Amino acid sequence: MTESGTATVHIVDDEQDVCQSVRYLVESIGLQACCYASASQFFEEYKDQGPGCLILDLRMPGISGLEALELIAEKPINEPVIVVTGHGDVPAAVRALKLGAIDFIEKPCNDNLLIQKINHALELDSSNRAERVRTESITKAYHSLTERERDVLRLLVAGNSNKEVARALNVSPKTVERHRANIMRKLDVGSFAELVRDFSVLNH
Amino acid sequence: MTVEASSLDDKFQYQFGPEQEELRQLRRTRDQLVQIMDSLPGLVGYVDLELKIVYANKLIETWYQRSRSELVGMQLKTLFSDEHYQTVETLLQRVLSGDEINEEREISYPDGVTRMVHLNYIPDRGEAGVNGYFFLVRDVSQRHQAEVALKQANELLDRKVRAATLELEQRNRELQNENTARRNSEERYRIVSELMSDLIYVYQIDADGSMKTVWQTGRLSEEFSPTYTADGHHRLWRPIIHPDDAQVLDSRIERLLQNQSSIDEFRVIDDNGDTRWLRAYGRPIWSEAQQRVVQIMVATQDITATKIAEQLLERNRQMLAAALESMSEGFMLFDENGELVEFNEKLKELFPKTASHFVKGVSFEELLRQSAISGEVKGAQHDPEQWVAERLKKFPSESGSVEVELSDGRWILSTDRPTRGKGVVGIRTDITERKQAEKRHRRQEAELAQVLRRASMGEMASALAHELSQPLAVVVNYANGLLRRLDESPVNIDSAREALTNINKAGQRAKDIINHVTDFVRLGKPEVRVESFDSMIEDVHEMLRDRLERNGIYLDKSLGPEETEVEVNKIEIKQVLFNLISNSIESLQQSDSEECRIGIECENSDGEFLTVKVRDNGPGIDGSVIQTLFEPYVTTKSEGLGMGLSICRTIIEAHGSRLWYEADDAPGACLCFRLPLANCDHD
Repeated sequence: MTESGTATVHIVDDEQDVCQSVRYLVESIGLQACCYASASQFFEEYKDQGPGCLILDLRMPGISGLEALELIAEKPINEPVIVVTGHGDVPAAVRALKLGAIDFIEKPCNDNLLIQKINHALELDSSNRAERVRTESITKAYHSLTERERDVLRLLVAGNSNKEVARALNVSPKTVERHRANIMRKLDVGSFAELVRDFSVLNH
Repeated sequence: MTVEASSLDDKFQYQFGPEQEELRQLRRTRDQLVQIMDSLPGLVGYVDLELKIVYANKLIETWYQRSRSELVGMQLKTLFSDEHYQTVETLLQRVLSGDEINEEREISYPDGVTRMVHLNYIPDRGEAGVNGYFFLVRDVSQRHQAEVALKQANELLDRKVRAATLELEQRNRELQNENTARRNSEERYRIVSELMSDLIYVYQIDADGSMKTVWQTGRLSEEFSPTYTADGHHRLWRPIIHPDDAQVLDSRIERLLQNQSSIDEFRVIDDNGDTRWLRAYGRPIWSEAQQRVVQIMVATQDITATKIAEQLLERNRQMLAAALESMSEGFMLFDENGELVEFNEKLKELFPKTASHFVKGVSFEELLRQSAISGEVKGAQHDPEQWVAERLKKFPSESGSVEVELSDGRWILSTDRPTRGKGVVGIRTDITERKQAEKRHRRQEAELAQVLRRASMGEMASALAHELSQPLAVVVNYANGLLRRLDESPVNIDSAREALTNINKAGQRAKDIINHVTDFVRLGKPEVRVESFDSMIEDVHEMLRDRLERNGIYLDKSLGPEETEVEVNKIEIKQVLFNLISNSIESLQQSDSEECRIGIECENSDGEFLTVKVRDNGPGIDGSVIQTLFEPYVTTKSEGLGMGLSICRTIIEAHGSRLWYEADDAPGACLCFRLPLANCDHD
């Protein structure tokens, strides 16, 4: 729960009664809820409203829950997905998890369990979002480095000393020292250890 | 007399001249002539030109019953009757014109006699023409009669000759026919004899007792020809007789020689060494004169085939008897008089209390009566006659049988069929085991029905769970949401109402679902509603999606019209679809096909029904199972109750439709059913 305060729970279920009842439950814990009667409606109407998660019924006419999961993976939709499966339908749950759902819940949903899972999903979403923000800033900073600075960075992260880097690039150790200070400044890191961590994010 | 004489005198004077002597001579002659004429048996006279009688002899008096004096000078017209005159009128005219008349006429004279007369009129020609005519009338009646008689006699004779000739001819023909017939009959006899007999021969017996064959004919005459012993005895069979039958020949010839006909059967051994059966009909010909048998005629038949057939027949009869005895059924045969003629021992075993009454000649009715009286038949003892009368109504029966329960608990199946000979064949079968099996079967069926219900309950439980999960989820969610809101203050009444309204609705829906299921369990008429068929398929697809995907089976549900609405009970039809698709999945699990698929084909064929076909490309259904496919407990699965299709059919039939297996060339199985379309008038 970061900047915009209230998170949004997206509920995709062809059974409107069920959909509305989940919305009622979700609202009772102070969250926002959006109902969608089908997967296709969800894809048409969804927009990122800040922190949130998705509750997806697997049994639906048209695009099924599992098909929807595949589509979500291809689209820029980052919200964690909790799938709703039939009672005891473990195979469906497993398939859903493999397709990227973070969790599943059996019908009929147990209130506390559902809320617990929604909260967990929202936490995950917010940490995901924070991670995404940091990665973006590092990436931006990396792009501000000069060609020579990037070479120096690569060699330093690979574990070379200043001298070794200077020899490899056929420059003086002093010059390497200066590049290193510039890199630390541009990437806004306080220590060399931080630098290595951030660079691993970039490599991903 | 004188008158006539005088008139004659004038005439003769005129003719003969006046000489006295001569006259006397003449008178004498005349008198003689008159006497002669008078004694003539005919009428003689002279008639002049005026047709007056000038002269007539004595006889005219008799014929005309008038005296000669009256007659002379009388006009013929006066004398003759009109009829008489008309008869001779033309003759008179002719004679007076110069013709001589020789005619015969039948005339009735005044003396009452009708005579056939010969009329001889001779014209008296003078120089100036005819002066008159002489007449001579002779009575030819007798001659005529004689002639007629002769003629008649001749004719009669003629007829008789002709008749005799005809008779002779007839006789001749008959004789010829007889001959022909005899020849024919002989021919026929010969043919028949030859057909009937294989060898016919006649042998002659001489006084010294020697015999020789006179002739022989027939099919076997070349094969078997007589030989003769030195004493001239005929030897036909003796040389080849079967040793055991030599005695037959001895006694046979003895009988024949004693003038007794004889029919004998004996065996001979032919040239091939085969034993042949012969039957010989011998007939002696007795001579009264010689007081001994002089000829013997024999007709012989080769009855080898008949004998073999007889032996076979006898063997068959024995086999039949053995078969009857070895039958596990009681057997009895009544003849056309209703009398028992044949039965086996088994029958007595089946009816031990009446066994002593099974004797030849007894009637079925009596047997029934004994059976009833002895208490052998359950429930027949209190009114045996009534029972017998009832039972006899079904004896015999062209079709059908009667099952009778005996007092000792056994059941007997009685089948009584009329035979062609108007008799009755009765078969009695102990069906106690079958009856007990039936009883067991009925009990099992009742248990089965119970199991069926339970099994369908089991399958329904999953459907029920699915159907109920949604309203339950709704109830739980609203209830929990509301509970949380109750902690807030102030409590939002509208929000609470929203939750409670929806909880109420969901509760109602759950109740409806349970009612439906209860209805189905009672197998009552389903409560139908207009439902989207596509959504039902979707629901079922969802339920089975994982099983389908796990087995890599593609469910093709896009085969048919979209947005079809049917009037059905949704839960039940989903149950049917679930079962059919489940079956296909299980069938496809055994298939090694690359591409497993199940197709749901829908066809709105006649505007009244939607035909649904669930088809897979699996191994299909074994032909031996197809007939009983929809019966309970028929299954092709190693672990299956065999209830699925039975339940499906019950459901579809409760919708007034049917479920069937479609056998076509396409691989795999295809099960079809029809559902009533919505907006259609289904009475």
